[in-house]
Amino acid sequence: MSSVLRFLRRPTNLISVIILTLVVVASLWPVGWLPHDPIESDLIKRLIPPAWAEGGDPAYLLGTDNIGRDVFSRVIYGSRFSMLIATSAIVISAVLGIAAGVIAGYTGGRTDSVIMRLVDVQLAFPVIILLIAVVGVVGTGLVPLILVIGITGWAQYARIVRGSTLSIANTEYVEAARALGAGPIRIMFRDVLPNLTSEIIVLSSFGIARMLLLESGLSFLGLGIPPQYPSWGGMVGDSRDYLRSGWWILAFAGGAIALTVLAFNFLGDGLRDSLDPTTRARVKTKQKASK
Amino acid sequence: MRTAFLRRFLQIIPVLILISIVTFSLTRLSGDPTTLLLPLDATEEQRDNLREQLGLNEPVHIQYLTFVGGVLQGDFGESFRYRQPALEIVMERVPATLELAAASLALALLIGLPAGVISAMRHGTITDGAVQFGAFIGQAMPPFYTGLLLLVFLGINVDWIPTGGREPGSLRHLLLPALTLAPFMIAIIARFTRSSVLDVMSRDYVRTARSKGISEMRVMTQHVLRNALIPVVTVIGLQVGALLGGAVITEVVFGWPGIGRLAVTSVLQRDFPVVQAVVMLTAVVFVFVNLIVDLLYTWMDPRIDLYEGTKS
Repeated sequence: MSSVLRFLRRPTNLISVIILTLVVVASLWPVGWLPHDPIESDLIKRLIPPAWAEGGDPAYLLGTDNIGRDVFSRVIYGSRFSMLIATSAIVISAVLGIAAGVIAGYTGGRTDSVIMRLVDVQLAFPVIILLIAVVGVVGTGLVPLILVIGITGWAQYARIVRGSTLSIANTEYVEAARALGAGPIRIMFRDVLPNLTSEIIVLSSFGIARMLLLESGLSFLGLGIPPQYPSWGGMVGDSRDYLRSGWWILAFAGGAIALTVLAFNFLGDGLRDSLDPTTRARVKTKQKASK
Repeated sequence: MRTAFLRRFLQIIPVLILISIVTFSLTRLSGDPTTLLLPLDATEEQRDNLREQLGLNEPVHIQYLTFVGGVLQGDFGESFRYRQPALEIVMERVPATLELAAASLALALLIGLPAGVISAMRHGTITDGAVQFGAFIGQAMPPFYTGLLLLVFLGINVDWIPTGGREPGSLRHLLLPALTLAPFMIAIIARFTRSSVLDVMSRDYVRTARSKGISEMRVMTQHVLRNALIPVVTVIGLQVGALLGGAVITEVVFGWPGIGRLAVTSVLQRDFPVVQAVVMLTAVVFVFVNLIVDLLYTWMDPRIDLYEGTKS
């Protein structure tokens, strides 16, 4: 408990936890409880400014869009698609990348160099151009989108996991396990993987942020989440024609993306500092020194 | 030294081969091109003729080799839409993307480097916190959001700032797109410079230099910065992919006629030879930029051996 409190003492960590709690609540919020239907249009109510602005309507807190849908309800409803895609995609990336990284780092030799070449290739493709091409070919849809952006994220995991696996593989306890007759698979699962936990958590936090940016970029281009679902990126894309008459659509949908990405990056940074024993020791000695 | 260069050079060959396989598979996934090339009422015989003509009846590995042979001669096939060689269409758009990327990179270096150095020198102060916070914001802003906000606040309200399009050599047209693409790079460069400078500042030779009574200014310029800025070069190389990716969105927002926007419109029009040419070209550029960066890195810091890693 005290470690949680210590974590929350850092302002950026606290901010990120608050934002992410709100995002998670928003993404689980039942559609029926939203103030307005996020899908149904109402042309009479189009382009109403936010409630506090001139001409605003208190019933529409963040205003309405070009076909009269409540921006607040859509931003809340849109969160579930962005979060679903980003988190599922990162699970795919993590599983593929960790497997590749552990195998490369533990086996070494040819396998290692082949896997690392593949990492180079993956990193060589500017992801969004590759995604545009792949989505253009396989078509849009929730599941293809998750698969496609998930698969492209493996290389970041593989590279870092490989590095740590290399150093873990040379430790005495792995040596001891090997001496006791444990096979490579057992060592990978029982000795190597558990020691990678905090690193994987940190990577995933940054990874979700990256996935959110990728998905919203694709949705903005009309190549991401199919248009029948409200997504943050798609809403920003729709707002382009109403920059003058409906700035609030852009402001709130785009703001939701930026804040969520910011929160995941803060979280990743905070977790890295508090999970990494070397930095924790450093902070402690620094505190002692300043006393 | 020379063998190291050669080895590094040979390393990119399998990478290029893999890239070509991926690019080739992309078009094969896109289905039968005859449905796109021929009118809907074309007869089965016409389709067969075209398939024969395009070599689609050959076995896959022969098709791949034909594809690679063409690519090596700069032949990516003909654009379905423009009826021109795909590579020609892509090359026409390259200067625009280069201009945008160069301007953003220049901005990023101009702001990111000093910000990172100052942040490290004022380590733990409010200035440092502000720079780090700014860097987080820069990394969290999607380029389409930054771009559209700039349009709302500047493009629409300030007369002399154009809201889109490009005129070669016009800095006014370049302003908003460059400001859109730069923040991400500024953030990365600032953060990396900061940690690199901090790292060097804690080294023994810097402490020695200080203890000799050399002025802080000289310690920084002669000892710290010279060593700290070398790794920043690699980071810039690694970010070329991100820069190109950001350029896609920025180009779409501002109607900038570069290869990113071309890729998006070509995908929407299912003009696959052009898409293929863009993907292949960007990947190859990325591979070579990283090769150059690696070589530059060894040249600047002779202690580093490209193949063996850092010598102690």
